[in-house]
Order: sequence, then C-alpha cells, then structure tokens
Amino acid sequence: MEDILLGFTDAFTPTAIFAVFCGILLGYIVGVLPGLSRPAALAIAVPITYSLSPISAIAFLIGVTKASAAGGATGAIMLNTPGEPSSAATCFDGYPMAQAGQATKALKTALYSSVFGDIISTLVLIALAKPLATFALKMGPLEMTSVMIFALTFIAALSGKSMAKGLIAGIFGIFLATVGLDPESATPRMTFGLIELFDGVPLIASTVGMLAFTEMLVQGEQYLSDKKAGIMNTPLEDKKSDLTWSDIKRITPTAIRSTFVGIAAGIIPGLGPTIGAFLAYAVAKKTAKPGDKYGEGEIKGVAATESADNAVLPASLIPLFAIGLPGSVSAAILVSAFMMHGVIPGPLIFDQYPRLIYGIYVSMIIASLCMLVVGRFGLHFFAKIGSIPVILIVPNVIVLCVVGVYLESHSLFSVYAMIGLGVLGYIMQRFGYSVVTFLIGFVVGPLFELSLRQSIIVSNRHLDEVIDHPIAIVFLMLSLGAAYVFMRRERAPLEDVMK
Amino acid sequence: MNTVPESGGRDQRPPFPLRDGIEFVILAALSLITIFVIIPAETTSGDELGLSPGLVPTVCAAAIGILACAHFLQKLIKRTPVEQSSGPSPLTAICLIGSTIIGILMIRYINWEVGGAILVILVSLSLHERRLLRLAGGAAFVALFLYIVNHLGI
Repeated sequence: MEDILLGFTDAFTPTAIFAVFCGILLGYIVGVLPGLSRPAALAIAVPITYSLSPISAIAFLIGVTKASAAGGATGAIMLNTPGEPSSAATCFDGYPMAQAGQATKALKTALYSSVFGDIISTLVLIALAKPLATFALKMGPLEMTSVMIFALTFIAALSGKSMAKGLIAGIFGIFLATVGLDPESATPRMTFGLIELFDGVPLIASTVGMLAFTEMLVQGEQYLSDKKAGIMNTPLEDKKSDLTWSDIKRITPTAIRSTFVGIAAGIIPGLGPTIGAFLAYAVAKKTAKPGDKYGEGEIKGVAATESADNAVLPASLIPLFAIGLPGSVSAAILVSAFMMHGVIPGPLIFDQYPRLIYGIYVSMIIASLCMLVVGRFGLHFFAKIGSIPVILIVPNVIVLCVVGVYLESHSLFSVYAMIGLGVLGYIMQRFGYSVVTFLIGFVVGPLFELSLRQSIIVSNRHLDEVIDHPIAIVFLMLSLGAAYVFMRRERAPLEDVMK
Repeated sequence: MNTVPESGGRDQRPPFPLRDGIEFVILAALSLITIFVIIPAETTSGDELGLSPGLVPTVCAAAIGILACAHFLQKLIKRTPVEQSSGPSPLTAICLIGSTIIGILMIRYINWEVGGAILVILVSLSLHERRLLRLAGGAAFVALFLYIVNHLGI
C-alpha cells in the first residue's frame, strides 16, 4: 500500500505531470504529421529523456505513444493520409465524413473513442500484469525460452508477407544482440577489436537508425515519387458539425467491442495496433446493423478503429511487465528507455521497483486524461499542422536522429552505428524483411540467450529433459503449430482482412 | 502454382524466381562465412567454463541459412508470379545517406552548428528543394537549435 501511495506521489509531481503534457503534445504533433511514425518518434524521444527521472522519462514516452495513436486519426480524416499506419483504417469512414462536411464530428469521435479505449486498456493492464508476473516467476528458463520462441514465431508470421523472412529478421536481431562480451565468460565476441562494441551494438542507435532514419529515407523517396506523379492532398472544408448524444449512444457498443479487440491485439505478440485497428473494423462491419453504411462515412467505423488502436499500447505492456517480452515495436523501444534508466522490465519489476510501476500506472491514467484535454482544445490546430510538407520534416528529423543518438552516448561511434543500421533497415525493408521483428529479436536477444544457456545447463545438456516441463511443451507445440499454419497460408495483406 | 496447359502445350509457369535465388545465395554465403570465418576468429574460448561463447551466434547464423534455403525452395516449388520491384528508385535514399554522412563528417571536423546546417541543406537539396530562402531558413533554424543544445548543455 505504501508503494502505491508513493507511486501516486511520484506521478503527481509537477515534473512528471509536465513530462506527460509535453509527451502528449509531441505525440499529437507526431501523430498528425504524415512523415513521422510513432515508433520512429518514440525512438528519437528516448535519448531526450536521458536526464529525466525514470518516472518522468517513462511518463513522457507513454504520453508520446498514446497521443500519436490518437493524433494519427487527424490526417486520416482531414487528408485521407493517415499519420500512423494504424490509422489507415480510419480513412475508410473518417475521410468520407470529412468530405460530407462532418470533419469536426469525425475528429471528436476519434478523440473520445481513443481516450475510451486507452483508459479501459490501462485498467486491464493494471488488473492483469501483476498476477501474470507472479505466475511468470514460477516459470523456469526452459519455459521462458519456449515462450520467447513462441512469441518470435508469432511476430515473424504476422509482421510481413513471408514467415521465413520474418524469422530470418528476428533471428538476425538475436544474432546482432550477441555482439559484445559473452554473458558467462565475459570474453569479447564479434567486437572486431572495437572497444565501443564491448557493451554490444548500441540499443538507442539501433532503434533510431532502424526506425527513424530508415523511415526518413523511405519518406524522402515517397515524397519525390508523389511529386513526380503530381499527388497533392488538400484539407476539406468543415461545416462545423458536432457530436450529439444520439451519436454517442450509437457508437458506445462499437467502441466497447473494439476496445477489447484492441486489448487482445496488444496482448498477443506481433499483432500490434495496425492489425488491431483493421480487425476491429472488420468485426464492426460484421456486426453492422441495418442502416449502417461502413465505408461511406459511418461514424461507428471511426469509433471502432480508433478505440482499438489506442487500446493496443497499454495491453502490449502486459507481456512486457509480466515476462519481459515486448509484444510490439513501441514496447520494445520502451524497453530501451527502461534499460537506459537502469530498470529491466520483467516479472521482478514488481518486487524491485514497485514504486516506479505504480507511478507509471498513475501517469498512464493522467496521460489519458491529458490527451482528452489537449486533443479537445487543439482539435482544429492539429488539423492544420497535418499539412506541413514532408520536405520540411525529413531534414529536421535526420538532424534530430543524429543529435539524439549523440546525446545518449556522447560518442560519434553511436552516430555511425545509427547510419549503418539505418542503411541495413532500408535494405531489409526493400527486400521484405521486417524491421519490427528484427528489433524485437534484438531487444529480447540477451534475455533469450540467457534463458537458453540456463536451460542447457539446468538440463545437463539433455534436451529430452523438456518432457518434464509441460508449459514449455505447450509453447513449443504452439510455436510449431503456428509455424505450420502460417507457412501453409502466407499472411494475406491487411486489405484482405476487411473482406 | 499449377501448370496451365495452353493450346500449344507451352508451360505457362512463371519463370525461375531469380531474385529469390540471388537472395538465397547471398544469405547462404553470409551465413557460411559467419559460421566458418567470423565466429571462430572473433570469439575466444571461455576456458571450458560453461557453454561456448560462439554457441548462440552459430545457431543463429545456421538458422538464417536454413531458413533462407527453405524460403527459396518454397518459392521454387510454388513458382508464384514474380513480384515487380516496387517502390521508387533507391537513388534518393543514396543521396540522403550521402548527405547525412557528409553532414556528420562536417560536425566532426568543424562543429555542430556548421555541420548541422550543411546536413540540412544537403538533405533538402537531395529532396529537390531549390528555393534559397527555404534552404537558408532551414539551415539557420538548425544551426540555432544546435547552438542552444551545445551551449546550454542539454
């Protein structure tokens, strides 16, 4: 109880509240700007939090993540250009609403649905994470290894068109995580004589390079390609339509249903916000009532996608806090933020840093409420900044990437590593290898290696020992089953989910 | 994909997946080089204490090679239609990478403010920005930002 109260106190300090506010503001801007995605912004924001206290740092980053999910809808509604991939499904009904002069109504629906999904999901996180962590503490290294194999298989299968390529990316992430000192003998491993690599490939440089820098390369290409093709997006005129009580009554059941779809998408590793939002839209469409006009400006469509999108992040923290496994790329970046402040996410976090965890919970609720206030008052302002051209964003974000990585390590080596990994990320994207799976593999790599080594030592190098571990068998069987199913039916594109 | 017989009995199967074949060759070669050259040269034995430091990297490299082979075989058997290389030319990306590297070198050899300004100008030029006012404004903004960061010690 004392820890809970202390956590409350920490979260209500002016610095922590200011950090949340700044995070929300930045997140909204990031969400609205089409050229900058949530993981990229989060990756750039992590080094900025270096000098903050852990609670303020995490609160700031949670603010960025939550608000960028909500802000992504603005571009989707006003310009038919989602600020985030996860808001792409919002275009289906949001843009037709804006075309019909109902932009304000659509924006308010998106905002309220986002806040609703976010708060419910945060409450589910608070209710589930600790009991699951208590259960996870009873699991041995063999079980942990099998859980990670299962999660990586699932993530690999869902993150790209080819499962084999997804697995290659994930395993390559684990491989790169082995660079540095060996965890048992502390002898250098694949460091090529570079002292800078003794601590491993820098995590912040990897996330910034692979996500933000790579994305700027892709955005730059896309910008020139669109310019050549003469593609221009112009905002639509708004007739100042407003959300009525009857509208709220209509969308509430859809928002509740979609929130739980989003929560499920957050808990299951690999699904993430984009699939969560599309699935929620598909479910809403399947359960449509006579008179609902999905795809033609149906308000329920906007509520479905946005509540699911925002429900994903808090839910994706459940496996992170319970077993130390990031289920999404945003959660993987948050791991790097935790580690930068000396905290290793996992089941022990509740025993080692209870005050921090409760502080984070309270900050998450504050962030949701702050999102409502900032989103409501900045509704029309954010709609305007969505039209900032990519040509202004790309150069400044590249500078931020360089500065951010340098600030974290005060070494140009990290900046070179960021460029190198950015190029690698670009090549991987171009050839269909998932950068997301790579990063999750890279983040869980050390934990995976540790669990695998412990499993081999505990079992005395006899693999048949696994028979005595039913939980491990279940997860290994599930991994094989998932691999079989996904290999047989390579994942359909997201648009096919809608059918 | 099934073979569809035409009137002339010609095989309508899509051609050999060349791109996948090249990808497989590259990945397999990298995997073998890693296993037989890089890992032995770059890992030191832990004096028989515990497991070999090269264990996990070797397993990963081998798994990547095997998966690359499996993927290629799958493509070869299925013979799915060859996907056209989508997306714009990589020339823009190369220019952006080059601009960033030049900017970082300027940061290293001159200072943050000048290097940052050059970086922004080069990146903007790579994106076909030719308006002088925009270029100068962007460079001045970044130089000022970096000056503040540097001198306030953020």
